[in-house]
Amino acid sequence: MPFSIFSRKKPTRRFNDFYSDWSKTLTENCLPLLRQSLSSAAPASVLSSNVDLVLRHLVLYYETLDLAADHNTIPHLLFPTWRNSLETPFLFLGDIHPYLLTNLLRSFIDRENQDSDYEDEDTLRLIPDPVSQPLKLPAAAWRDPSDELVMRIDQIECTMRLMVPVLMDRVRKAQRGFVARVSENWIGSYQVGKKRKTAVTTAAASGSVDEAAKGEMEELVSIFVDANRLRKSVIMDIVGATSEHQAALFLEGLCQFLGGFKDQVLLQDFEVVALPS
Amino acid sequence: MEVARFEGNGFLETHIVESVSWDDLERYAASKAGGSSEKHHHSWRSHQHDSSRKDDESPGELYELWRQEQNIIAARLDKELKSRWELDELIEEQLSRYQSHYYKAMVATSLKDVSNLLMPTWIPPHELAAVSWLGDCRPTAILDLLRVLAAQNPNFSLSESSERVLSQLVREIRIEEAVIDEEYAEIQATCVLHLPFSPLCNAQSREEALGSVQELFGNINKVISKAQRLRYKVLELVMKKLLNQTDTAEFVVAFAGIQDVIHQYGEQKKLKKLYPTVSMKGSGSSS
Repeated sequence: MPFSIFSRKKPTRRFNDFYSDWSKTLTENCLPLLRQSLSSAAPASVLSSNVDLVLRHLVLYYETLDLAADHNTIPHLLFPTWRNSLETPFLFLGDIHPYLLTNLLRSFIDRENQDSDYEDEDTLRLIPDPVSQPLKLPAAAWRDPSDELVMRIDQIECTMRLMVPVLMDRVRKAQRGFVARVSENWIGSYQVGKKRKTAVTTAAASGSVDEAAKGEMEELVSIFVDANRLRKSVIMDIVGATSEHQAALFLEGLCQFLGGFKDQVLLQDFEVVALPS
Repeated sequence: MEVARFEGNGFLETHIVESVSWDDLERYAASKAGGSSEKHHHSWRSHQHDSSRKDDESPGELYELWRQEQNIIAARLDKELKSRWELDELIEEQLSRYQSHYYKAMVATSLKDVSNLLMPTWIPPHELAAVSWLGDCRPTAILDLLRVLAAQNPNFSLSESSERVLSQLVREIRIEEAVIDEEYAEIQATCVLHLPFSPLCNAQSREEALGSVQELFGNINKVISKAQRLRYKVLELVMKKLLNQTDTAEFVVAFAGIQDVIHQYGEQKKLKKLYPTVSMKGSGSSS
């Protein structure tokens, strides 16, 4: 464009490019940083600032998602083509299911408190490669969690269990409302067409679909933003409720999990494997 | 006056009956024909007029005329019946198409198929966002369409009891949808932690890792199949149990037409290529 230099339009980039950089930073920077700071040699201040850094990286993702969402773009964010086939079935309103976060935290705690043979198993899992494999968990990080932590997790879960069904319900209502509105318009034009013995005019029908869809898409944006707010606040609440050491372990587990979907070897196998019969 | 009358065995007998006119014959024919068309009615009238002029017409000739008229009605009825059978056949054909679509065509055989069924690349994103539930339409939305059809289409003759059944069905299907949602959420939030790269997974080898993915995707596929079965169940109930033949035809026409306008909307939106963007400040790195 010859006059683009005078254009007031802010420079933008496609969300998928942002996501690919963000995801790369998560696995290549955040994860090693957390692992380094979890090693016994690292001073406590490093652990604290790295937890903060990784938390900000996660929050940045949700904030960017929200900014990218409007009634035109929301379908791409709910059904992101930049996610691979291994991860798309696990998307809940465009990203991880919020329950997954507390389930991950609980499973850390449960594993360390239920299984008396755990320590032996964990020793077996110790592989001497600090970058690509998790380090051995520091002993007793999750053992006998404080009453306060258990109570906070219950509270976080309780809030989530109130909010997730509401989000699902809103999606259902938005979709059913849209179908009902389109049906009303279509049947209306069909009746008129029948009287005049002509086919339903596509222009009239599609105009009314556009209008009904705009309303629905705006509601979907609002639901999406609320879902992101919930995911973001659950991550922040968990980090707030746990000790710095536990928070680092939780974030390390989360980053490892999110990055795991990009595992190229697994993806190659995934592409060719049949379903179990 | 002599008049023709059918006996049960189909043979004709003639009797002398007083005060029986062509009007009586006409009423008889009309009642048997189940309401003949107005046009036809006129033809009978003109015939009556003719016959009144020809009082000398023999009973045999009158009978012959009457028989011809009857044959004309019978031929018309036969045509109507055949088109009804054709309608029945078309409805059956469409129902079996729905069945093979949900039971055979939209069935996953590989892990990748599972993802494709949930997020089909052949459906434009706006259409997916607008209506998709586990990769296809919501069963409750099918019933919503039916409700709108019953309320707005004057030709639709949903009986009071059928309306009660429909309301009950909406409640039941809503619950079944919610059960499937719960099952899927359990996989997305809990079972997902069995993926091989999860901090909680103990998979040691590549085979073990792939095995856990296979198992998980197998479970997701079961959920998808349940959703497909529920869609077919709703369509079958609506088309076979709830609606009469004409209403079923109206329903299929509306269902196809509405899917079509929503698909066209999706295709048009896709052509506009409005993808999500990020301002350059958000560089994708927090550092």
